[in-house]
Amino acid sequence: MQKISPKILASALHAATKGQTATESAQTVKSFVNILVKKRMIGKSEEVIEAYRKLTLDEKGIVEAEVTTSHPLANEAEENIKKFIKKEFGAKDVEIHHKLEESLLGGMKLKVGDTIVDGTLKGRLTQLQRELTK
Amino acid sequence: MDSFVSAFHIDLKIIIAQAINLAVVVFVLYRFAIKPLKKNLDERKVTIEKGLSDAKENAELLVASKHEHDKILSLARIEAEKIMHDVKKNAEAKRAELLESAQADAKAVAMAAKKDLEAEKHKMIHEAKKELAGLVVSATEKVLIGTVSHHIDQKLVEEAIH
Repeated sequence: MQKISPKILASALHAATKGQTATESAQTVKSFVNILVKKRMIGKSEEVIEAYRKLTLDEKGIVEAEVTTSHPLANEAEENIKKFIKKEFGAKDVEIHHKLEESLLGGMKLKVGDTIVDGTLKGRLTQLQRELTK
Repeated sequence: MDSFVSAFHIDLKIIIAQAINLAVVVFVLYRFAIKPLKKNLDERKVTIEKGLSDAKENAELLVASKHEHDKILSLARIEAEKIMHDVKKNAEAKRAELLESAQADAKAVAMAAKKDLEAEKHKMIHEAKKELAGLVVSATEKVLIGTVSHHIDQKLVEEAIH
């Protein structure tokens, strides 16, 4: 039997739960889990949940962004980052996942989808190293 | 006549007999001595003449042979000179060819060596640059660790999104 991808399963669940109340949705999800068990695809549940979450975010126009800094991010800076992402990616809202990484030395590394904005000192030094090696 | 015969006591019969004897002697002499001798002499004359003719012919042949020998020798000398000239010419051409080939080989080797040297030089420069860049970056990193204040950090964040 051909395996169905988690993305397709998530799309199906998303379509099924659309416009449903919380109780109805819970019933739909329960049935969906039963199907996954029957089809022996329960092991893919995490991937399905992740795909479902992305579909929901897409539907709501929310963009996920991964922000990595060497220092804790100030609220003002976080707001500015959100504004930047909304402007650049046309998002209604932004969900920021913040990571601390001291080796970046300073600045910020932003990842939205496949786009990466590297404004870290580490990145600048790497660029400098490349230029010096040319 | 009779007085003359009687005066000199000539006997005609004896004279005739003597004449016959003389004729016989002459005939015998001619037949058995003079004729073979003449024949022999003629033969010897022919032999000598032939010998002389042969000798003359031989002398002529000798002269002709000498001329031919000289001519052949002269031709051989000319041919030898021509061969020597050709050999010398070929040797010169070969020498020039070998010299040219050797010069080309030497040039190619020199070019290859120069190219290798250039490549090695570039490689060394690149390696040195790489090492130097690594050192610069490493040193800068060490200097920057702990020296970037929160203020500078926020400024860098702002720079990244503007």
